[in-house]
Amino acid sequence: MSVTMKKYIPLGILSFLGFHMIAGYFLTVPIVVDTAREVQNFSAIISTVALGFGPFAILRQHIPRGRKGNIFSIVLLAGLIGMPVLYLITGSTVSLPYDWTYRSTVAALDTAIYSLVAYSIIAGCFRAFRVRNIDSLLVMGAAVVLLLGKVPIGGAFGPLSDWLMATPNTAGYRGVQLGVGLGLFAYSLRILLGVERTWLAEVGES
Amino acid sequence: MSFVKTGKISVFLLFALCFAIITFTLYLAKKREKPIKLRSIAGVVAIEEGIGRSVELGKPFAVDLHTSGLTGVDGVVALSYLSYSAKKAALAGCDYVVGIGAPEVVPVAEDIVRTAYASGPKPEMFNASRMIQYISPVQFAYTGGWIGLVGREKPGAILIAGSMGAEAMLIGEAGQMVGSIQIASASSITNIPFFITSCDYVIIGEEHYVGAAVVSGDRVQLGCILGQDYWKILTLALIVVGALMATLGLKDLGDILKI
Repeated sequence: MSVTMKKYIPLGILSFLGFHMIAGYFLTVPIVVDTAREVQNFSAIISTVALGFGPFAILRQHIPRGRKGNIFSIVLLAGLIGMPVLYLITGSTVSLPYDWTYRSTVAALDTAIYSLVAYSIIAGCFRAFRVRNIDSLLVMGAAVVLLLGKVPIGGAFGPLSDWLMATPNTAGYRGVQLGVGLGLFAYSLRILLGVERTWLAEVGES
Repeated sequence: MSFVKTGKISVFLLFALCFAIITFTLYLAKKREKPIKLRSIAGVVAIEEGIGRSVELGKPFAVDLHTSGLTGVDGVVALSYLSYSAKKAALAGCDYVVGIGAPEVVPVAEDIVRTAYASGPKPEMFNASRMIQYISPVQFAYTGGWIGLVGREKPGAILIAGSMGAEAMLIGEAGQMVGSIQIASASSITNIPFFITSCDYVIIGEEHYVGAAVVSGDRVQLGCILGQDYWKILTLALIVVGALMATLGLKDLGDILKI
């Protein structure tokens, strides 16, 4: 495939559609607004079609080849094939066998992993709140005030806790958000102008 | 009749001004002969260190793209980091593993890693079925898969480049448990505190996007950061003027921005 077909034509399409979407957001010209809406529908269609890559990728990497973790691959493949088969047999996603299997496996594992977040946060807190220098002392002090402000011990730390959240925390938050907004805009512009191409596997080329 | 939607005129004008400033600095950077120097971002420098550590330990370098798809900018930024780290890993002869949660990213990531290894000294190291690990587009299913992958592979270093939600702490802890050097790049304010507690380096907020330009090494892209800084100065001036006017009881600036 030529460089033009592989690089310049996709970049041209990307730039045109990107600026078209921006025009659709700002302008009142009906043809621009209508076509921009259509393009948004295309992106939903492309994402749906792309879902088809998923099963192929899973099959490719999980078909047993005698390496570590094979048993997990077998469980995964059984789920990948078993759930659609169960649906085809019962003809419904709300049927008892399908629903029971979903709730007993996917939903239960999802909830179990979510619950692990609490233990991870405790482990993270232990590391973060160890006082090693002035910065970590400030972090720990702020955390203690916030924790005491949220427990029912007479509300002594409530106002200080609220002030910490509303003033220093919000100031830092807005500073980061301002930087993120500008960075996002500049990065998007670099993509639309075809300057940023590292995502096309062209490291260091300009 | 206005061609611009009511309520968006001032935003449109600000957008046009920002566009003009950044495009002008891109042009200036292209004309400039001297290289543009930026302060180094510790997290970006650490990517190469992490690859070096992985080679020394004989372990893979892992990249977590998470469930970021191609419809959001963060997903594309993550691909920039993927491209950079794959190129460096290929040059160093380092084993490489990528965790992916969005199916549409699989062929793109595979192409990036394949190209990087094909241009490196050991193209035979590329193994798509092992290096490109598609896990799941579902948040906690991906998290479980990633924890399993890290537990099995025990990477020497991990680069967390995708955007995530409540699972950020679990993702960070997985690497901590196996003793990997962890570099996280996060633009989401809700992820940053979790990564600071569990990772060795964090590329924070704006650095997430600037780092993508730094890793490219392209002076035109670096020039864009200059335009970004000019725009930041203008924005800060606007904030100061707005605060002063609001303090004096004048609401004209707010009214203008609502047009």
